[in-house]
Amino acid sequence: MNIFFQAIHDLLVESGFMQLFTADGYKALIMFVIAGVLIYLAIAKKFEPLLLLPIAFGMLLTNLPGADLFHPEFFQGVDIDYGQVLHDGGLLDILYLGVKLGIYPPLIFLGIGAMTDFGPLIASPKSFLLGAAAQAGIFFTFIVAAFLPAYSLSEAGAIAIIGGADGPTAIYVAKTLAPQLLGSIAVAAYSYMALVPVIQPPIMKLLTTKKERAVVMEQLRPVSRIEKILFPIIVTVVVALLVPSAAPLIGMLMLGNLMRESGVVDRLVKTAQNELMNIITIFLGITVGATATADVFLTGKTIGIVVLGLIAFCIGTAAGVLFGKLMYVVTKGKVNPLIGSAGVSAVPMAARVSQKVGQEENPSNFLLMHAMGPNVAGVIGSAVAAGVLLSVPLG
Amino acid sequence: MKEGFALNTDWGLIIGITFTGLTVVFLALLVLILCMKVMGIIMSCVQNKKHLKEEGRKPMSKELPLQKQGQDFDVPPEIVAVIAAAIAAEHPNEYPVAIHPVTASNDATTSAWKQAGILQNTQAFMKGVAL
Repeated sequence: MNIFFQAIHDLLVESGFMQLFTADGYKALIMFVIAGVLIYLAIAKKFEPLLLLPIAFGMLLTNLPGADLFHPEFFQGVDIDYGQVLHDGGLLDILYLGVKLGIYPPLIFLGIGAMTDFGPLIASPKSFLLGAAAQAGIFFTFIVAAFLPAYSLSEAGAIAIIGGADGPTAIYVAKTLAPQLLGSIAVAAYSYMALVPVIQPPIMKLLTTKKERAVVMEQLRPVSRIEKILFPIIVTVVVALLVPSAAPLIGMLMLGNLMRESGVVDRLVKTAQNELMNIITIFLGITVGATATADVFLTGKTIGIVVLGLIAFCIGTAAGVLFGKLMYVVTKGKVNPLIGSAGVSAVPMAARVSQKVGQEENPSNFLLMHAMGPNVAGVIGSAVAAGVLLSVPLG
Repeated sequence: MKEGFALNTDWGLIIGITFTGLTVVFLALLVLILCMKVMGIIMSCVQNKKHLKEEGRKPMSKELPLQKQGQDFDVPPEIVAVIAAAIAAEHPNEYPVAIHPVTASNDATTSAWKQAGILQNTQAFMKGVAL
């Protein structure tokens, strides 16, 4: 009988429930609440559910006391013992290798490329400028974050990339520059991307006049198949030669697009758009969520990341709209400045916001295809910005 | 982590990175604009040449004059039939309806047909989630 009670006692002592009542147990409880809120936002409010749901559940799993599903200590330091990860690591440790080695974000980009129509951008190349202007949010936030004593230069660079409004790019930069902040940065980036329809319209309305918002743009010229096939090849060569560190992201994005536009590999395109994309999304979401352990997440740094991420988004949107206004003046009223806000990427949400705000002024105005140009240019622009941040010595 | 508030910050490096970053982003995208412009010009030249070649092969015909933009043209009988059917369906057994000559509108910006076409083409982008 004693053996029975001893076994029950041991089980209770070793159980996660008991560990919840230790000194740091409350931290796990707070993380449960945060994960619960994110799960609620993903399911009930449909805030980026494809990624927010696995991220939130990964957050829950990693904070279960005693489960030891993820070992952040395996990935600390410059020299990672991959043998130890494979030998002693759990499921999440092994899946996390895809993040750590920079495999998942480029594969997600392959799927995005296979889904994206760059036609509006080819038809109106000036849209590239709006995609570049919206990246100002990244660099402005970099200055602000670098100014704050809480963040190192490399952390400032990782936080600033939230302004690119591009989840895979943010993860790709954060896993290199500030892996300890990866969870917070990913959660902030995806949360703000989900909140684009809430964040952007007030800024767009504040910076534009009624007359500017009502501008009807000329119809885009039709783009030939040859142009669509040449586009990914040209972009890959130009960007990879100019910013080699952006090559994995841009290369895979453009490979996906070339497969789509070639029209000869339908099976591969379907796989990249669906099965591969969905598998990687699950792996990426759950492992990024797993990095948000209580010790790392429940710090002042996370609050700072949330605030700085919002600043980056707002400045990016404002810079895009202001550049749109400049183009409105230069073209003598032919460009609607609202399409500038789509330059922050967040495809296709930001373009939809431009369309919606434009239609509020002029219900017969269709800005969507015009906004898709800066929108996809923003994806390329943020990948280039990421390449710059990765290539400069941030210490 | 830095120890002092902005005092130990290497401002030269930060401003340098910011300036370099923005310049490289703009430069990369400007080069791409240039490439797209050149590609557009080459493609339009090739298409014009093709068009001229095809025109040269065609026998001269007076029966098919080219339609100028904004010029009135006959509406195909199928369209008239669709309009008539729509009106008849809207007012069944009320009164007889006669359709007088139908002309296409020149106002392309407000055309309901054009709007319906645009809506159909852009519907795909109005769905889905951000990535």
